[in-house]
Amino acid sequence: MGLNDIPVFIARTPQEFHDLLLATRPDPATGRPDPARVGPFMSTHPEVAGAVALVSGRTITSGFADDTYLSLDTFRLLGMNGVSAPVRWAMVPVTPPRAAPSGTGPDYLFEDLIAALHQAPLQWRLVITTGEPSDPTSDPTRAWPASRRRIDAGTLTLDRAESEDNGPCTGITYDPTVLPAGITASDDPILPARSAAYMRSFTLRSGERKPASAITPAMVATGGPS
Amino acid sequence: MNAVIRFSALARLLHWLMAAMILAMLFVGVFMAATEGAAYDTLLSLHRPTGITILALAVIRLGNRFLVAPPPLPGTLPAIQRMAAKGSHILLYALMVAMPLTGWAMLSAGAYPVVFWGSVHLPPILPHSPALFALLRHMHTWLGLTLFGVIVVHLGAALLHALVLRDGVFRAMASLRPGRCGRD
Repeated sequence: MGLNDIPVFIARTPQEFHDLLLATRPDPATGRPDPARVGPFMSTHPEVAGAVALVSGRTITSGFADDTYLSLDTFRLLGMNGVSAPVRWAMVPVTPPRAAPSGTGPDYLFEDLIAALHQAPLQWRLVITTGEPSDPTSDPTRAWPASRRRIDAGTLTLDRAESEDNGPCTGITYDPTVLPAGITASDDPILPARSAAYMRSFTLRSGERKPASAITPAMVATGGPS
Repeated sequence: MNAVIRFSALARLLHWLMAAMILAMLFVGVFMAATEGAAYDTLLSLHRPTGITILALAVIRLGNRFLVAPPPLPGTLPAIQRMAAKGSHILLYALMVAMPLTGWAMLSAGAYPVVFWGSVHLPPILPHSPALFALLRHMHTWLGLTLFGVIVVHLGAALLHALVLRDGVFRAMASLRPGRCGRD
């Protein structure tokens, strides 16, 4: 399962995402996106502008441990009666989110998570939201109304971290269209694009020599930087 | 009209059936690798079962080729063309087997499920290895392009026999008649 801590995705189609990347690419002179290019793009793409505003305005929690992670894309869940329903899901932290991050250094988010896991396991609730016929399934830039039915589908408990070096998640790729029986992809055009793009990037990075991870197995084992 | 010795009916059936399937697969593969649109999923779910079917048919075809001798090439054919014919046929058979095998192997090495159709999955044929996945993924493309090239040469040679040399080689494979010997 691949989840992200933004409320919505920032483009409706692969083409729109491609155009957004071109419009926001850094200006070589300043190292920042060129406002003369970004402005006109946002005014002609109100859906992207709206989604970017939601992403920019989200609450930044203190770290990975108290963050909420969302599917963003819509999937279809097959019911016992053979009828499928559109769903989106989220991992909602059991620990109430604390305010803005306090740490320092390039790796403090990882170090805080490792330290927290050495104290106690961390838990998230898997919350599945079912869509109504009026809810957009093919547009991940639009959030569904907060009043939709929510199903508490279980608890994720993390009891330890793993370094990327020799960790069990190294060397595999996430593909949102590889799904267990009973769950299928929706008509969201971002889903096949993610599948295709992730396989291509997996091919490229698997053919490279991987440098040692900044988060070493020793740091994970001892609970902090040594 | 000369007397001809044709390929066996099974050899001809497999040849034309697989010709259609392999050509379709090359185009499906090229479009699939070039798109990120909704067609990607559809083409991918078509690509995997067709590839596995081609592998199974290629094994049957190779068995048939060893059991039933193909018609001899005409004695008028120069040695260099005989060698080219033999070499290109070995290459075609090798690629027919190698294409599905590298596809299956690369999904295995990448820890992807090898979906045949729906919930029918095939077992992995290689252990999980990202480096091997990257190598096989590139090989799958290059072998596919090589197969495309060899098919173009094969098609050119077939047309040369059919339209210029008219030596019965094309009819030996293109005939619709059931028996191996006779007049067309």
